[in-house]
Amino acid sequence: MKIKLNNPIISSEMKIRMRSWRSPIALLVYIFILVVFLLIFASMALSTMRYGYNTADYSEVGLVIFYTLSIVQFFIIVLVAPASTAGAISSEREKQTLDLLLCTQMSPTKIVLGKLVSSLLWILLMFIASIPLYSIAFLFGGVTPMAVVTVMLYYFLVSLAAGSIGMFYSTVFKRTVTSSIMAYLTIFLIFVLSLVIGYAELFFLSQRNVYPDFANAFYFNPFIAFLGAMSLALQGATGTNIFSVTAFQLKTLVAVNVVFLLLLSALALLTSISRINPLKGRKR
Amino acid sequence: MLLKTVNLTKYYGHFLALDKLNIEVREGEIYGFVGPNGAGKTTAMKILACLMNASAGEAYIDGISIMQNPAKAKKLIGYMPDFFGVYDNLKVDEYLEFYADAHNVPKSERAPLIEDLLQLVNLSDKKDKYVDTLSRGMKQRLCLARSLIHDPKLLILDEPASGMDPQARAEMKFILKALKAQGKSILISSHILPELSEMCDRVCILSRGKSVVSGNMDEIMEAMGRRAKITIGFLTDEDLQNGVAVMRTNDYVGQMVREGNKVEAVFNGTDEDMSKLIKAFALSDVRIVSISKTVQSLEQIFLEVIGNEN
Repeated sequence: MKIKLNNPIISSEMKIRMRSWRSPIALLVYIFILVVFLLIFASMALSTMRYGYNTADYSEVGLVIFYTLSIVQFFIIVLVAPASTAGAISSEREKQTLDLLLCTQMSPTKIVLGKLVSSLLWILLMFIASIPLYSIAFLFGGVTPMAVVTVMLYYFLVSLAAGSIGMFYSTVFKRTVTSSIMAYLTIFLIFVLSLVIGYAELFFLSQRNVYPDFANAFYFNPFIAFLGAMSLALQGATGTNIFSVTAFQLKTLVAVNVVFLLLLSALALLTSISRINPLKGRKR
Repeated sequence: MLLKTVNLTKYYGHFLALDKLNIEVREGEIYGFVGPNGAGKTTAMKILACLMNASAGEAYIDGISIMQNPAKAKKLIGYMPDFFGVYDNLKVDEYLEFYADAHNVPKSERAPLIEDLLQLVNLSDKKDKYVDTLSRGMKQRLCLARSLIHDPKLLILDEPASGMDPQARAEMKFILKALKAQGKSILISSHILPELSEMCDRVCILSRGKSVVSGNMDEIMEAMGRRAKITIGFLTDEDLQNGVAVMRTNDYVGQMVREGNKVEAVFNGTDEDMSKLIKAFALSDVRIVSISKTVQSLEQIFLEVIGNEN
């Protein structure tokens, strides 16, 4: 059986996106922000090295550059991914083209996945554009290729989850502005609520003289898990991790968060597919 | 029979939008849906285009159930809604290429197909232009080309001429006739009956989700009665009184209105019935000074049908 992987939405979306002057400008701004952060933190690390105790280990500078790039990029992706999908379906409604797509041989699944993949491809382009900056970290040492791969995989996962949430809201609301606001609000809640609940949990446990390494709610915070994944990947190079917990605990943190993000993405995407299907409950 | 609906019904909550609609569209036929706004035309068309579930009933296209096998049915249907639905940042040929791809048209067939369609809708010279540079009429024709990209057997066109100037309407009419000549069946809607009557083989008048009357124009006229308005002038008031008495005995004379020495009345009979009425005046010694008969236009019949329904 011949499997058709072709999705016309991806090619047309990429064509339309790359035709716009906004795309190269956005890419330039993105790289510019990364470079600014990189210069600030690298110069700080270098001056610490020059005037501080640690005068010989350049790998510290490499690690600072790596962490700076990775964390700044993480938050940029968290901001970009929902914005690029929050208008995916609502803009089709605004342009009155959704019905026309649904009249074709494309299934609602193909439409939703096409929209999502084209957004993820744009984010992938951003990753690729930032790779030369990572090479600066390698120049100083202390960073392993595995750490970069881990960071990229986590970016992909977070983009998928944030993008899926944006996609879900774009099927719920008719206006792109509303769906964007709701997507950001949801992502903000996931990040902040898991932190607030986690710290509340630690506080109440400390009242009973129990001091766990990790609050359960932290497992659901993508940023904590991202730091955990980076730390895990760099453990071989640095010998330590930023949470001062065992490798097993870090692995559990990352595994739980990965499953959580995948489930969240699957739920958001399946609901989106169902929501745009005009013939729900009928065999297609 | 290419398209057949059987008791097609649609409820929006408790509101009955389509009430047991039964229509049949033959191959190579232009079938018109006519009715005022909210009559159920778009609802019926959206169900037939697989864009909406029906609450009850069935619809078949070329023997395939739209309800049971929408994916197969969609291959046979080209739908053009009453809005453009275009991507402004795509060029005309890219726009058609996108929909050809979406309809799984083989890549090797796309270029000549797009050429042919652009020629049909008279947009060959606009092939490399961006869609947002096209005029309203051109966009409408491009949308028609899009609905034809997968060579469907049935075209469903929801108010294709709405908002168009007379020239663009004429062009659209010309293209539809050309498509009919190619053997396409067309289901077209409008809220203007005379516009459809010129090109449709058959028409269905919808009101409040119900088919009020359907058939070819002659059948519709027959069903509605060959209504005419007659105006008769009498010499004196006495003649008028006697004339009204004669008219009251005639089965074909309906509602009468007096205006001075004239009487205006609805007349449902044929020319022969009219001559009998004139003879009856003569036999009763009713002196007539003038008589005129005006046949009601399609528009008047349509408005009357819709008015009665409402």
